[in-house]
Amino acid sequence: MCGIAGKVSEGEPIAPGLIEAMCERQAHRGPDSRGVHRAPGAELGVQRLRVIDLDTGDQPIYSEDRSVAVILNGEIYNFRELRRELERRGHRFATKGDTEVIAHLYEEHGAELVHRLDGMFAFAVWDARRRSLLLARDRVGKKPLFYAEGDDWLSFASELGALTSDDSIARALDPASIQCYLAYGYIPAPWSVWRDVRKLPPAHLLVWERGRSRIERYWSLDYSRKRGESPRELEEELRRRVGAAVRRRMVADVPVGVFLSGGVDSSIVAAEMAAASGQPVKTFSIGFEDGRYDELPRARAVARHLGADHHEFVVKPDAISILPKLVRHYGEPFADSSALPSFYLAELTRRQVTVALNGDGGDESFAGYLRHVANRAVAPIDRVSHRLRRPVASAAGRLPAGADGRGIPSYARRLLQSVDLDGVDRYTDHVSVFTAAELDRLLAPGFRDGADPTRPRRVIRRAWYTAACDSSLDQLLSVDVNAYLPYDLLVKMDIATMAASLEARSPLLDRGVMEFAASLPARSKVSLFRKKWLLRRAYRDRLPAKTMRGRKQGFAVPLDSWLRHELRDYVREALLGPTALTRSYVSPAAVETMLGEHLAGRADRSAKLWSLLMLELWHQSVATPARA
Amino acid sequence: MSAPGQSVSVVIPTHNRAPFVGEAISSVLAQRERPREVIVVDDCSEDETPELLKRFGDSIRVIRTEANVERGAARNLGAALATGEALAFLDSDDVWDTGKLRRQLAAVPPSAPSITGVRLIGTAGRDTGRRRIPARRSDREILIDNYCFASPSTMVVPKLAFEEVGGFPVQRRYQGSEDWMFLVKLLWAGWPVKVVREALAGYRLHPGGWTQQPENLERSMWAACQWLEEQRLSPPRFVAARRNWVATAIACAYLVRAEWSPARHWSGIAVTHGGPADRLRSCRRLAKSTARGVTGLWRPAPA
Repeated sequence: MCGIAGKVSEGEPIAPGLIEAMCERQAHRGPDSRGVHRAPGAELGVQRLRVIDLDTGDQPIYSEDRSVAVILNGEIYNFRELRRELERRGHRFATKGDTEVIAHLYEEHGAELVHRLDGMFAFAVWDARRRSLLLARDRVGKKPLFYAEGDDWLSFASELGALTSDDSIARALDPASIQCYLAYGYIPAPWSVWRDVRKLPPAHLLVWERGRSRIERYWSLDYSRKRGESPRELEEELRRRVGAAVRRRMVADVPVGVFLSGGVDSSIVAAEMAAASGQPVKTFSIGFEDGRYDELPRARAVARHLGADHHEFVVKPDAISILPKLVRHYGEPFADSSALPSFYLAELTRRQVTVALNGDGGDESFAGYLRHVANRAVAPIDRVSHRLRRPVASAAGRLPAGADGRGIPSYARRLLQSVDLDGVDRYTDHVSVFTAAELDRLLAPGFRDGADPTRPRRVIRRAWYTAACDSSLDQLLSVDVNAYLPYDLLVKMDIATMAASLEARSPLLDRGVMEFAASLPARSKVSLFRKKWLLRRAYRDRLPAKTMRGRKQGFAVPLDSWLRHELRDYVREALLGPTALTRSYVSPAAVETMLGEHLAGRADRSAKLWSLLMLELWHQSVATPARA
Repeated sequence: MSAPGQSVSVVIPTHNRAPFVGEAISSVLAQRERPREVIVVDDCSEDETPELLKRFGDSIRVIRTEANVERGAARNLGAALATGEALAFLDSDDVWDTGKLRRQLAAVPPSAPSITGVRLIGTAGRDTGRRRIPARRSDREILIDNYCFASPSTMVVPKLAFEEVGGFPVQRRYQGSEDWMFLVKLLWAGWPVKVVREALAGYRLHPGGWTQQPENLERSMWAACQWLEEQRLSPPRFVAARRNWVATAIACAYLVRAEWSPARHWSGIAVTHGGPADRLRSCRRLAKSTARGVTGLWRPAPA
């Protein structure tokens, strides 16, 4: 777990001190050591958090003849097998850690080495002989990687703030990215908030050789081959794979724990840890002083059932002082409010352990969202003529909207309203913070007509139309795995844990588990109204029945009430005050209306207001100082 | 704000089409909404095309290839020189209606790709009275069903989109399906391809026309099916439906010429691919073409 950065150049020499400055900006990612590799036209730097091989594992790591230098952020879980294989082929290892296998694999396979790796990673390999740089990101995008390119140079870093310490990168806003942010709450790869900075997408590698770069995708989930075994056999295979994935992630030379929300996924991970470990598992949970969102009793029940060493934190969140810190860490506007509890949880957990497992990815692999059930239910409607669907949609639009915008009735209303749309547009509507129509009303005309207005729509469409799935459920899952998971969930986890110098590991995002899930027929994921059917069934004997029946919540925050009470003045000041820099993007009248409706309790606009607030905070703490 | 046409560069690839290319260029120059520029890529024509192009003087920009590279590469060459934010293409045997650009841009801004319907015209340019209007259903259906009437002659594409997908395929084996493959790549990249359901261009049916030759269909469309499958970005069900569609089209092209042996071969392939609905549809199309072949009516003239 580390932060990596570097620059390669065929032209101008690299500015002295640049790599150190980049490392300094992301020092929290790896406070234990710093390593720098300096060669003509190529400099690499790394901040390391020691997790495996505490003594000899400091990076950069080199091949035997030092022609290949490697820096790695993340973990290679299968490094022991790879190491044995490489040693048989005559490679000599100088360290005991995982980074060195990349150096030797590179000598054997070149860029193709990524196919051999199992883990979460973003790494850089500098090949001095060929003068080429290889950058790669893991299959689902657990570890971040930003880069920028000029005519004859390329810079990269784990964090945006570190990358933009390079003065050759212009800090010009990308208006289309801001529109993506408002639409979904995140900015998807390959774009970033800055016009000239890109994110390397998950499962992609980039090869830069003498000033020219190419990017290619090296992996995607295959949903086309379905298993025909009986449910009992599938359950057994599932438990075997999840168990193996958890055990692989318990390997560390530092203390390991688990985030326990009390939901199905994190409880399963904790149960597997308990089964694999001789000692009580260290479990960590968080609750708020607002009882409505308190999940502590559920987590406690699971911990008691497993005989865990359970730790609970109850916080009264001080959003006003924490938010700017989170915003600075990510360097990009990001609107998922559960980053806040995740951050508190990570910070408190770090006091006890260095590595924490979590249940991320269960919902995307095994179908855990309401939209999976709902969209599956309405999928046959795509075969019905639009002429018949239109009256249904417009009638639904006239039904009264609930004040809090939550719950099944208001969800059903939203679903019915969208039956007139094509599948892809319906999904887009469901996952949007601001739908296309709302965005049209919100944005100031000058800003709306900026470059590339179709980009927000393309984000979901590209995932939708490249999902090689025959079933409508698989298509939704594939879109989730290629958009929501890497750009929202994993970003949130990385920001929250890295800000606290804690390493997060997600067994349910293990390649073996995900490929198994993709090979399951739809009926074993979703039964009529039951989400994650097989996953729940496989663990029904090992966890309390109440846990397995429970409804999803995750680490949620009471956003609507915060915005109506504690944060009321703060939000008004931020969004409508004289320093509201974002006003050049959005129409103040639209914001005023939204805020009024929310405060008066006529509607729940919390997600929208939150995303505008985070954008404004990003401006105040990142964009403006950067410009100065 | 400047006129929307000013953001559009028109690219016309041509190869040995002297009888038609003049009419094509004139139809662009006569547009009510004037485009920014007209780039004609003379793909190594051996007829009188070069002299003919000179007559247009400064109103068009002509580039000539040193060897014949075929239509995909020729369009890419023209696009690389274009200065507009959007690209429009016209095949040199087709024509635009004078209101084409204006109506298309009024319906869809040049920041999104769009296609329109076509009128089928004869060799002499006379309207045959037939129209081909792409369906406005889901994009998937547009791409399976409207295999050649999403004609490049109706496309307006933002340059950003064109560059993102790497332009038209250039390999020779794909030429003829390069337009369809280009649309599929746009779809995969998430670009919404809008349909203007009006016939705004003339699509010329003539004996030298590409779609009139079953051998062409056989070579390029089947190769494109293979490509679709290899990319592994589309559902297997979709790939099978596409194979069914293409095999049917090839079989029909042979049937109307009463070339029974290859027709039988391709009919066999058609009915073994795709779902029940696809197969039923291809049986209907095959029956119709068989009737045309047996009666000898509407048999296309030899090239």
